[in-house]
Amino acid sequence: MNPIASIDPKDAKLTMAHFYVAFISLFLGATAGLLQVLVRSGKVTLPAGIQYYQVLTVHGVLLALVLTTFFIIGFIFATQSKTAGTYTDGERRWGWIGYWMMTIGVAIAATFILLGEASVLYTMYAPLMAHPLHYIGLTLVVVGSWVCGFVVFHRHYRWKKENPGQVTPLLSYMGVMTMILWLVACLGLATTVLVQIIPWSLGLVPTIDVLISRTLFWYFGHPLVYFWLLPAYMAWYVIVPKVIGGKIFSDALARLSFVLFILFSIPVGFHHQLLEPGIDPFWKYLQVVLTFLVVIPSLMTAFALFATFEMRGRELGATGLMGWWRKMPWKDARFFAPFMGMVFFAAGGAGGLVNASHQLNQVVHNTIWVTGHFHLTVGTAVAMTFFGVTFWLVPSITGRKLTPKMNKLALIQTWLWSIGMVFMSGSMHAAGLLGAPRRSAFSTYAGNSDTLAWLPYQISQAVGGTILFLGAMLMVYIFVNLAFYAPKGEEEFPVGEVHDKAEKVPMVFENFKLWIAITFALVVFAYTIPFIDMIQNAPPGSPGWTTVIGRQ
Amino acid sequence: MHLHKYEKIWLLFGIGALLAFTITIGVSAFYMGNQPPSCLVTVDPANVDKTAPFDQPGLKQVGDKQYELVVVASAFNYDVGPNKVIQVPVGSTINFIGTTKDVVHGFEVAGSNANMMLEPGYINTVEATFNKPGKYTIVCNEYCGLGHHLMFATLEVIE
Amino acid sequence: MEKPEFHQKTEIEDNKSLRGTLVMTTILGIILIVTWFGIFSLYLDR
Repeated sequence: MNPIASIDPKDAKLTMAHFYVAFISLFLGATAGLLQVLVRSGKVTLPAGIQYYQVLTVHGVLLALVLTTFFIIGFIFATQSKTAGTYTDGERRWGWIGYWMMTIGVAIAATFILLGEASVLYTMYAPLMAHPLHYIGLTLVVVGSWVCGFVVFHRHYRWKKENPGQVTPLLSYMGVMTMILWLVACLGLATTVLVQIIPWSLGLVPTIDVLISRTLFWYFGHPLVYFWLLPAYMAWYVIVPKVIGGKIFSDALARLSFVLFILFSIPVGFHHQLLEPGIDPFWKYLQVVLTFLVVIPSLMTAFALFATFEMRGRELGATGLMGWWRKMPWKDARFFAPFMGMVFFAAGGAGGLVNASHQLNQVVHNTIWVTGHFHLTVGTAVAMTFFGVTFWLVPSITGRKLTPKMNKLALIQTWLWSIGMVFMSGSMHAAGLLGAPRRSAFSTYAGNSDTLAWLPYQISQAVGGTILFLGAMLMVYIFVNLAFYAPKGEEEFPVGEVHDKAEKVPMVFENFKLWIAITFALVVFAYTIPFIDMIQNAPPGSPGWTTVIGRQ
Repeated sequence: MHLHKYEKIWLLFGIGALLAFTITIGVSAFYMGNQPPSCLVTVDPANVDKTAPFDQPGLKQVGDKQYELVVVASAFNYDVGPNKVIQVPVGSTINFIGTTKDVVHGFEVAGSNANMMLEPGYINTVEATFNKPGKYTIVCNEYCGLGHHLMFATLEVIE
Repeated sequence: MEKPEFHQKTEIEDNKSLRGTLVMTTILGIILIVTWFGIFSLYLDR
């Protein structure tokens, strides 16, 4: 068969380069995860002086920062190339520059983690101090991602110039909004890393203000999860409808949801700092109220997705209240994987509401419930949707086919991940409610019955984690097969169309300057006074602590 | 912009639920006193051992069934005073007052609402009442280095 | 002339065809509410 790629092969090469890094990260990060659950079962110790917290750092950095960022950018490049049109040589060159900056940055940061010089986990809180090159490596990754962001902006801007007054392609719009969110969010991370952490880790300044650093980190840390989520929403809103043979429920409401995500996902970092001193409770409450506003676009998304399924099901002749469920293409992994992601997101969202609420946060903060929560959200809703996209995207852009055999393996992979996650995340939630802390190696603590009660849950986490590891390895196998061994041919790149009775898209959604301005206004409103308080009332800063993380 | 009638109903229901959560949180926090630990008092992290009350960590009775526990956290230990196991009678309310000498630590009395962050340069406090007897393990729940899982203390609530 | 056409345009489909969606979102809402108040009552209990 002749290979027919669905996008320009030069653009496909750029996307695939990002995916190679993403799936290598999956391979290594999942292996780290397996080691963690085995150690925490109490039955396994790590060989050769490898530290648990080193492995945990690898797991968090590779899966939560590298896999995600690389997959997201590769995905956005492919969807933009498909719907807005091929990149120019200039745009693509900058895309490659961004890619190499990110990849070299990963290599540097990873080197220091493996050398035991950066066991600071992916949140790298001060005053734990890693080797300065670790932070410099991470900086390269972030700045490289900005370069890729500007490529996305430029392509969208070029489309608008070539098609004046027209509604922009939905996937390109969503890609732009995702990268706007990312850039605004990164300002917090960049400030603490460039102004505070790197000079301090180089010994240029003797101390660091810990509360300010954490606050800047969490200014970044909450929208980070929306940077992960919005590309999954891109797949749910635009791609899944085409996969099931239906139409997009509403283009305008989908764009509105992305606008609301940008506005309300940033001025809310305090809900990650609810139990920290130095922040007035009034501002904590205010940011919690803003946090609840960011739930609204997800409520809209839930409605839109159910409506898409129901309308398609009824179009296929379904009757009764719920008969349309039976009409969905359950045996098509391109639907089934993202759908399971949606199911797990319902549970993840419920947990998220708990985490963001004062008194409830008191019960779960820093327990392994939180770990259970984000394995449902980024670890399943997002990851499984990304896997579901991979099944068709890789063959589609490389001129190969998703064969029935690979589709079957993909369904098995989805089941393995789902079952493993129920065991692992379920027991993490339960153990967390009993007080089991997160980010902890195996311990029997003081030997009291309360901590010993956590151990059976850790066995269950090991069972779930092992099944997840198998699912991860199968996914890597599927990726390699689709990328290099699948038969040549043509695989659809499913892009949904809006159904014809939906209303016109208001052009105000394209007014990016307006949305960015409102976002900054909200950030100023939510952060200025407490941030000034932190600076004015600042205690003496902290030196760098290195021996506690195994550095000399 | 137009919304389908059912979407309007759903969003009304959903936003109503969010409002119920927000009001519940607000009333509980601002009227019933259930605020999260948010002490604004600062301390010099290099001189914790010389700063009262942290120059004398430990349990102190301050009223009938009312106690104060002054805690100094460090990597990887909770200094809770001369008695390694803190004992109080059932029904006691304890105000935990803590800080850290080095990195950020958590302070969690497992199975209770006593859960707070200890950050260098700041004091933090959290109060909890213990109506059930038993041994409660105090654990560190914020990663603080290679010995993070070896930081603990025991609170014994006696019948 | 305008009115009945406008009414048809503003209803994407007639209500019957999104009844399942309303039920599913309501179930979702109940899950969120039950979870939230469940953990809140755990807090009050402790």
